[in-house]
Formats: sequence, structure tokens, C-alpha cells
Amino acid sequence: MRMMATIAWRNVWRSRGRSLVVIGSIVVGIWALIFMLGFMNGFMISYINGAIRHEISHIQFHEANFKKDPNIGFVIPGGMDLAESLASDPRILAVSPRSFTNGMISSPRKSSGGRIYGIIPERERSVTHHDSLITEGSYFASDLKNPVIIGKELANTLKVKLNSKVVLTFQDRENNLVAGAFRVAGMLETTSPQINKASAYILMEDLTRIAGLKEGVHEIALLLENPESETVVLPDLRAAHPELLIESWREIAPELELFLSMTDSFLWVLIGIIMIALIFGIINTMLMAVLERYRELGMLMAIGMNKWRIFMMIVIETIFLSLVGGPAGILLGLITMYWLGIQGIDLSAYSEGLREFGYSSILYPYIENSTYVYVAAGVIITALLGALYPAYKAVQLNPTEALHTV
Amino acid sequence: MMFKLAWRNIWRNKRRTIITIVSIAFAVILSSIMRSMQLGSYERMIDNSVRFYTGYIQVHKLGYWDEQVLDNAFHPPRGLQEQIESLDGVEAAVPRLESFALASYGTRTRGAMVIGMDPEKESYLTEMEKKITEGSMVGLNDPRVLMGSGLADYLNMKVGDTLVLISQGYHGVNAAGKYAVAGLVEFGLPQLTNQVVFMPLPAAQYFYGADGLLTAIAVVTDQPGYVDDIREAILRDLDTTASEVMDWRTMMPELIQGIEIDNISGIIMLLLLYLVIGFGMFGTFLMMTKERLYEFGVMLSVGMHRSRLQLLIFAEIVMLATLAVLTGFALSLPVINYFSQNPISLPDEYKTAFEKFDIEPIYAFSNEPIVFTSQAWVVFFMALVLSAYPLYKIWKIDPVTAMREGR
Repeated sequence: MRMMATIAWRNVWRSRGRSLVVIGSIVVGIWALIFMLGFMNGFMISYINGAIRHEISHIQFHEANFKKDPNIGFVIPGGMDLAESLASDPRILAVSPRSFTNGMISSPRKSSGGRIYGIIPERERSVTHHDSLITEGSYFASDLKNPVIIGKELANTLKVKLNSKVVLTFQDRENNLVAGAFRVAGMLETTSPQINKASAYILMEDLTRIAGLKEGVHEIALLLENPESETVVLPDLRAAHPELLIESWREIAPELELFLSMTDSFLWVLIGIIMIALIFGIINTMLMAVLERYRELGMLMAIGMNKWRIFMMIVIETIFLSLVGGPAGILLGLITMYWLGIQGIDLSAYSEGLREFGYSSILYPYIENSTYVYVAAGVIITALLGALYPAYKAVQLNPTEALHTV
Repeated sequence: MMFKLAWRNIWRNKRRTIITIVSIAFAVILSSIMRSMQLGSYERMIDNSVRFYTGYIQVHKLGYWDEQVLDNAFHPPRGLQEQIESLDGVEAAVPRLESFALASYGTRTRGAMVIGMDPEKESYLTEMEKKITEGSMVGLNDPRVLMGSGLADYLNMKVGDTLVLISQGYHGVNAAGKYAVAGLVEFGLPQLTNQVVFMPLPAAQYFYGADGLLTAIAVVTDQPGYVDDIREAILRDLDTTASEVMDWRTMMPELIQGIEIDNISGIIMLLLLYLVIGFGMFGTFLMMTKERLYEFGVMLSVGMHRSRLQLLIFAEIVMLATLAVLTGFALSLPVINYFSQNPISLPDEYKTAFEKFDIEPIYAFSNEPIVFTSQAWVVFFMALVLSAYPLYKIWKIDPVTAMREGR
């Protein structure tokens, strides 16, 4: 066996061009897979982070009945105190208590159904960062009475400008319709169509006053210090507040899950196609390499090397090629990922569309460390499978005939 | 003579030729499959979103799309609906009258979108009867309504209860009415399920005080490729100073952008595939060159010009590539056609998320001709570019060493 390995190793370097092509295919295959996974991962992370950072947050609290029946009376008991105590938890980065109701947002021209949020701007800003997304006006900085911030698209639909008056109509605790006149203080453009088209943000004190509520916290949204700690923090919070409905972003926004499923299901197909292309390239090259060596292999057989050894020799050659190509591919992938992880891929030529869909225009590919190992293992196994057929072909040849072929 | 020589060279060594052809043909098949799946997923995306509600084409009063209010409703010209339906590829012209209203039951009220529709026509577009979760469909002259199940939950209503609707009708008339709920409907989009009320068209026209008026006519086709022709045909007979005809591209720019974004990643994946395929093809070419070094040496030493030899090899490669690309084309056609007729369904773990949003959980394949032709061309040119290697090698070799090493 030692001898076989030596012969195989020497064979590899005897014909450099051929070996480099096989090594090259392995390197390119690994690199392509790493790049693809990194790119898709970056795409998904960027989308999901946009939704979490500006709309959903990591975790939301509601009164147990509120989701089923968003009646303005279903407030979280002691909501403000709860928000305070949550804010002091070191695992939680930011907390925003809100009032929330569905209603109608009307201008003299048009009305539209929508969500009305009553917020505390300093708190809300730290959770949804909406102050950074104001396109016109300011984020509750002016001294207008009854300020409201609405989505840019909603403003267009309602045909209102800054300082225009809009009327918000909703039901109070006794189900009477109540309404208040507000002035548009700012317009917001986020990555979420829901916010852009159908949401209005007013001060919590205004909402509770109009609705005649003493306490008005219907929803508490929080961002975690470390997103991965969700699996620990969520059960803790649920145990501490069993009477409340506490949900993570996965439960709140199933469309994110849909997006993940779509991308994920497609990713496997892509990986499959690339693997098939790779295996085919390797089979072809090795096959030609074997057929090219008819005379040589015939000679080896004629001087008494048995078929099994010829077969093993070719397989071992492929193993050596993979052992050189595998690490080189991983290294190249690692360098590319590292560089792009810092540099980012600028997709701003498409940024108008990107924003609409909740992507930011610079994409940072990202890949888990374990993925490198999986990819390399997958490609090397593929290469070995690719060598089996040529090796089998080599065993089939007849020494006398082979020696006569030119 | 060159041509004959090249042709004979190709068939002199069948084994080598077949390996090369297979490697190129396979490249065409793989890249066609990949592109077909990408384009197929876009077609599915468009069809699902368009079928859902808007239709591929809509006709409205000029200016309605920019300002979607009831006052912009229009009297469709006489016979327009029938004329549209008689066009090639059109399945139905679906009339709609829609606006906002307050929906109340008992002590609860909520903003709702009240849509007047023709139940029979609507089945072509939204497949309404399949969306009914409780109760039954309404007839055209039935003054009952279908409501989104989310809205019904909010208002605490069941089938058979009476819904009160209040709104502002056409040109500011008061609109109010009581309607029995015939059934509940559920759509993939929660926004729709939570706020929609469907009413038979005559009842809706009466409710809004908009006798004979529509806000839109949506055109349903089962041939998305015909959209432009249909639009042209409608425009031909229409008074364009009073009405507008829009296709889904204008009505749903987000969809186009969404596809464009996805296409960025699609193109990148395709490039990666070309890279891998290119390497495989290069390997084959390289081996072919090596194998024939002896032959090249002989040719050169008997006095053939290097440029003539290069031309000969180039002609061989062009023939090989043409043969291979045509083979790949011929093989990928039935494969992709089969899958586009009999799509593969997604693994179970992904199904639930798709079904929640009313999207078919399948891997969709597109069999638009562009899929095949574009990939065939790309691979063909790749083969030509890669032929630079043997040509370069011929330019560089020394006949004597070539004959010695080639043995």
C-alpha cells in the first residue's frame, strides 16, 4: 500500500497540467459553494435584520386576549412598570411600551384603515430606530400640538403634506367612536410596506387621553443585547409573566419564515446542480486522463500489477488531488468571505427595489465556521465518486491491446 | 479541404469526441435547468400575486390608479366587457367596484374594504369559491356578502349574522346598508382577510349610489406571454382620453423590483455555475490537447503552417461545440418540459410556510424558449473562449519535443 501511495503521488506530479486542472476544479467547486452560501446567508440576514430592527423587534408582549381581539381595553396591567423592570435586565438592549389600536386615518381627500400606535419617542427610537428613517419633518422634535408621524406612502395616498391635518378615528373602551385631529409632524420611509402604507405614530399620552384610558400599554417591544440569547430569554420571560402573551419575531412574522423557506429550499437545488456540474467535470477529466495513459497502464499490467491495485492507484491519486485542492479551496473561500465581510458587496444600483423589500443596499456575506468543513467534505466525496468510473474503466483494459494503441 | 479534415479528425477518435460532446452538452443541460428554475420561480411569483387580486391587466377611468377613490369610478363603454372577453387568450373580464366603508356589528366597528364583484367572473380571478372557509358563495342578485374571516373574528360575527356598513358613496351621497353574511373567506394575505367584504356587484352599486359604475375591469389570461398583445388590442378600441389600460408591470412595481433583486442573486449563482462548468470543459480541452501533441508535432514537421493547424483545430472545436450544444438543447427540452408540466413538490419542512401564504409549494420550471437559447449561446461561447488553450499550445510547441513527449 505504501508503494501504491508513492506511485500515485509521483503520478500526480508527473503530469502537472492534468493534476492542476483537477485540483483547480476542486478549488473552484469549493470556492463557488462557499461564496454561494455566504451570499445567500448575507441576503437572508440582511432582510431579517431589517424587519427586526425597524418593525418587529426580537420579542413582543401583549395582553393574553389582545392578539385575537385587539380591543383597546386589553391593556397590559402595570405596563409601564413592567417595561421599566424589563429595561433593567442586562440581556435586554432596549424596551418600548406602546399603545396600539386599529382605526381610520383620514384627510379631507381620502381615508384609509390602519394601525395607530401611541409611543414614547425616546423609548421607541431606541427600539425601532425610526428617527433615522424620517424623510420629511422631524421625529417628534417640533412643538406642534398633537403631532403624528405617518408612512410616506400613506401621506401620498391621503394627499397630505407636512403640517397638514389628519383625523384619527378609533373606538374607545366602551366601543364609542372617538376621533382626534392631528398635525403631520414627519413622514417615515421604512423597509416595511405595512408601516409605509398603513401606520400612524402619535404620542402615547394623546392616544390614552382620547381613548379615555388610565393605563395604555398594549404592546411592549424589546430588542435583545444578543439575538442568539432569544432561546434562553424567551422561556425565562414566559415563566415570569405567564398571564401575558410573549412572542418572538418568528411567531409574529410568519412571512419571514416563508422567505427563509423559499431561499433555503432553493439553496439545496443550487448546491445540487453545482455538485453535479463538479462531479461531471472531474469524471470527464479523470476519464480522459486514464484513457490517455492506456500505454502506461497496459505496461503496468503487463509487468504484473493486478487490477485491484490499478484501481486503487487511480483512487489514491484522486485522494491526493483532493487533499491538495480541498484546503486550497477552503483557504480561498475563507479569504474571500473575510474580505467581503468587511468590504461588503455594494448593490446600491438596485437599492430602490432593495429598500422596498427590506434589504439594505450593502450586503455582507456571512458563513458559519462549520459550513467550511461540510462544503470541503462534500466536494472531496464528490471528487472520489467522480474517480470511481474512470478507475473502473482503467481496470477494464486489455494489456496487449493497450500496449498497441498509439 | 480544411473542413473535411476537421470533420474526419472529429470522428477519427470517437471516444474523445464523445467525452467532449457530453461535457459540453451537460453544461447546457445544467445551466438550462438552473435558469429555468429561476425564471420559473419568478413566473410563479407573478402568477400568484397577480391572480390573487389584480389580474394581469386592468381598465379604469383615466387617473383612477393614481387616485383610487370612488369618485374616479367610470361607466364602462357599452360592450367593452364582451369585447375584451372575445380577445385571444382572455379567460374573463372581471368587473370591480371598490371603496372603503366602516363595518359594524353589535358594538364593534372597523374599517373595511367593500368590493363589489360578479361572483361568476370572480371565480376566474381569485377562485373565490375555493377561499370560502364557512358558508357558501353568493349569487349575483343576492343581497348578501362574503367577508374576510379575520374581519368576522374581530367583529365577533358568524355566518347568518347581519353586518352594518356605513360609508360615503359616489359624489358624496350617504351610503348605509344592512347585509346578511353568506360566507367567510380566507386569503393568503392577512391584510386582505382582516379587512375585506365582498358584495355582489348590483348590491354594491346600489350601496355606493353608483348605478352602473365600476372602478376597474380586471382581465384574466392563462397565457401570461400574451399580456402585451391583449393590452394593445384593448387600447385599439378604447377612448384613451377617458380610460386607462394598465398591465401588472405598472400596477405592481414592487413585484418587478422584487424579481430584479432576486435576479441579482440568480445571476450570481448562474455565474458560479459557469465557473464550475467552465473548469470541467477546460479539463476536457486540456486533455484533448495533451493527447494530440504527438499528432500536432507530426503535422508541423511535415510542413503545415501553425496558423493552418490552429484554424483546423478551431474548426474542429466549432463543430464539436455546435454538435454538443444542439445535443444539450435537444436533451434539456424534454426534461424541462416534463418538469414544467409535472412540477416537483417542495420538501415537507418548507410546505407549511408556503401554504400559509397561498403559494404553490413546488419547484416551478419555466419553459420559455429564452431559457434554452440563452444558455446554449453562453455555453457555446464559453467553448470558443476555452479553445484559446489548444490554439496557444499549438503556437508554442516545438515539433521535436512534442513528438517525443507525446508518445
